[in-house]
Amino acid sequence: MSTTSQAAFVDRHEADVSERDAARVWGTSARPLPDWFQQKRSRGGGLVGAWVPIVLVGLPLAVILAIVIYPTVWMFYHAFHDTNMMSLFSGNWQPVGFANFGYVLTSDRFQDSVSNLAFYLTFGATLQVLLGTALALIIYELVRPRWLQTLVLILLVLPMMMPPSIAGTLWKFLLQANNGAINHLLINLGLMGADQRIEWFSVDLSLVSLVIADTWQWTALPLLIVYSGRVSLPPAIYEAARVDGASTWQVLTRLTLPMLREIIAIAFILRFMDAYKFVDKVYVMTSGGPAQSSELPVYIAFQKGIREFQIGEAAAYAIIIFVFAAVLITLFLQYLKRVMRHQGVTS
Amino acid sequence: MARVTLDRVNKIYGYGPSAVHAVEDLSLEIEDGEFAAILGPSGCGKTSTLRMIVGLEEITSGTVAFDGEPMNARAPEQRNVAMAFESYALYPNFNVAQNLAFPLEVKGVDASERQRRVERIAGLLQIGELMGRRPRELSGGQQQRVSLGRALIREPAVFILDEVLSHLDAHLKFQMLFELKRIHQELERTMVYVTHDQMEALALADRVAVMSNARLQQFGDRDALYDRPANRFVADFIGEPPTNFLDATVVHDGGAPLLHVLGSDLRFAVDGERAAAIEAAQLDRVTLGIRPQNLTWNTDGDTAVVGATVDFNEYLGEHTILTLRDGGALFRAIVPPNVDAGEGARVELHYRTRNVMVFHPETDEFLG
Ligand SMILES: Nc1ncnc2c1ncn2[C@@H]1O[C@H](COP(=O)(O)OP(=O)(O)OP(=O)(O)O)[C@@H](O)[C@H]1O
Ligand SMILES: [Mg+2]
Repeated sequence: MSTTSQAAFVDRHEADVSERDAARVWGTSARPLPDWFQQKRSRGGGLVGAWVPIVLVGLPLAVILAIVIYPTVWMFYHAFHDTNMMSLFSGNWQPVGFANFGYVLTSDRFQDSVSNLAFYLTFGATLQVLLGTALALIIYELVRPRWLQTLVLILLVLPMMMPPSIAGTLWKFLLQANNGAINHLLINLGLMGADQRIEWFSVDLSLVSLVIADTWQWTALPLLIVYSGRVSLPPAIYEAARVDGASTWQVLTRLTLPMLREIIAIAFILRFMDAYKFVDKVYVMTSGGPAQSSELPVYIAFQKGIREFQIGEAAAYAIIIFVFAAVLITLFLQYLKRVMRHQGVTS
Repeated sequence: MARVTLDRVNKIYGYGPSAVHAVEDLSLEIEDGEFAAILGPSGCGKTSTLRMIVGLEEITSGTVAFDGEPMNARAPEQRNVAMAFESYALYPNFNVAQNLAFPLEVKGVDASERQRRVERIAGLLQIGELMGRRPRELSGGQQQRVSLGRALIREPAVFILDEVLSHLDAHLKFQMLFELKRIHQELERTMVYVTHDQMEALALADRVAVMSNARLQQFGDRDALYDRPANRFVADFIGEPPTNFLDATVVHDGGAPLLHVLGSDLRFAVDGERAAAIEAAQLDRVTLGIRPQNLTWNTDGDTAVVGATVDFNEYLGEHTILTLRDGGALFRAIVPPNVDAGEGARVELHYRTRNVMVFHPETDEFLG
């Protein structure tokens, strides 16, 4: 770029602005900017061709359209049609209004799955957070050398690194009634007679088995979150509490837990959100059975859509789950905001 | 209530080449009910000493005892001490009132009594209007007073206060000093007060322990520190502006020795006591020290005199500080505010011979 064209460029676009800025900052009357600075600026303006921004923005936009927006619109559309395998391929689906939703909401299968989900959220997600919190605090408090703490954490985190379907398969073997390691263990520990068997995958226990496997795998997540929260609490507070003569219990209930409240809430929200997409273990361990005793809403949606091609119904499931999740998450965030305001984190 | 004894206490942080010897062979005996201050520059080991007394830091070697009973193995909660931390260490989830009440709450003091004592202490420390706020909504000085209040609300055997007034303005600091002194007189508990502000230490404490470089330099009352400093460091650290130090040769001019300041015509006479000390040490070179306050403009007769040229005249309202020069020697004197001593003027200053301090030129120890 020649000097004259540079000067022209600067004149046209920026000279007045930058000189005004310069005057404001340095309090001098308009002073010409140094040469090197002007060169930098003008060169910066013409660094890339006009097509580059279009491509940079357009490509991701296209991808998002294709894999997120289009399917979502498609789903909403079919939730109000009687689309199934036949009509999908022949192309003559009919609008049915809210019939799909009505059918789903009144079906026993859906209602059972909701109570299963409630069970899973209470005994799965909640248990994981409680257990994780307790373990995190115990490890922080009782395991003295730092390296040992790290080692214990790594060991506890290992299950989390396993693909959920593999973990499910593993637990399916462990919980086999006749040859499973868990039943053997219970017998060997004398907790159960040698001829007794716990049918882990019976109607009564299949959901419990899922919760056990899932807790084994995911407790480490709230554990890690709470542990890091605990590590970041200032040690001086604990010294003050010791000097003040507070007991371990008082320190726990009056200081540590209140100070970790938001962190525990976040861990809970994370586990809660995961619970919604809890399909993999159900699929490999029980396939929702026996007799649909361990089905969760998402699993049914998956079955309806991918297995039976009841597209309309599956879409209705998906939307119901989505609405439900959105409401709960909103409530959670509301709670979190309140807590943070209370703690003075935000105003 | 307790007598606090430290016997050859050492604190070493870390191991090997990165080890820090934070407190070295510290022996100190603080009487029951005494108000003791630990004074010293930043990093000299004051906080480390306190933390060992409280029990928050392991004692590398030596003994900390209360009333003669060793405390080394006791946890902080078993020592019956109250501490105000340099970093405040307020409970962030509590408001001011809850912070103040917590030490009482854990002791099972009932709610109405707690309320009464919280209100009293908040009144003394002027934080009554802040009761509903959380620590992060307070200024540094406000947090500091809450932290002080949380220590003072208890009635322990020993109060340990670590730089509790450092963030207050001069006016408020003065009021707080007064309150602290009054609380001490009322409770008659042992107090150990750490500061790097000599004004605070001298105003509050019965005795002051001066520390430097992990070592105790001197433990004594105001007069001892001022008139008989253990060494050059103490003489330098106590007093504002600092003591003038001048290298001098000892000249025996017939009877009493005279101190000739090197590189100048200044001559300082010493009294008999000091002369004897110099004789005893058999030195021909010494460091002499004289406080700017002890070089006076006026005289009541019983004084010796030195002459010098005014280099600098700082008028400070209540008094004027003159920086004086003679040859290569520079020193300062405090004179009345409106003396006629312009820069470059030749002036005469008076001193009492007993105010000339003499230090060993190599070891910096006080000779007399
Ligand atoms: N936990 C620690 N680990 C290693 N070194 C430490 C530790 N605490 C203090 N020190 C070192 O020990 C020395 C004394 O520290 P200390 O905190 O006792 O100083 P202080 O006199 O209280 O200083 P200040 O007036 O700045 O508070 C310093 O050199 C410091 O760096
Ligand atoms: Mg300190």
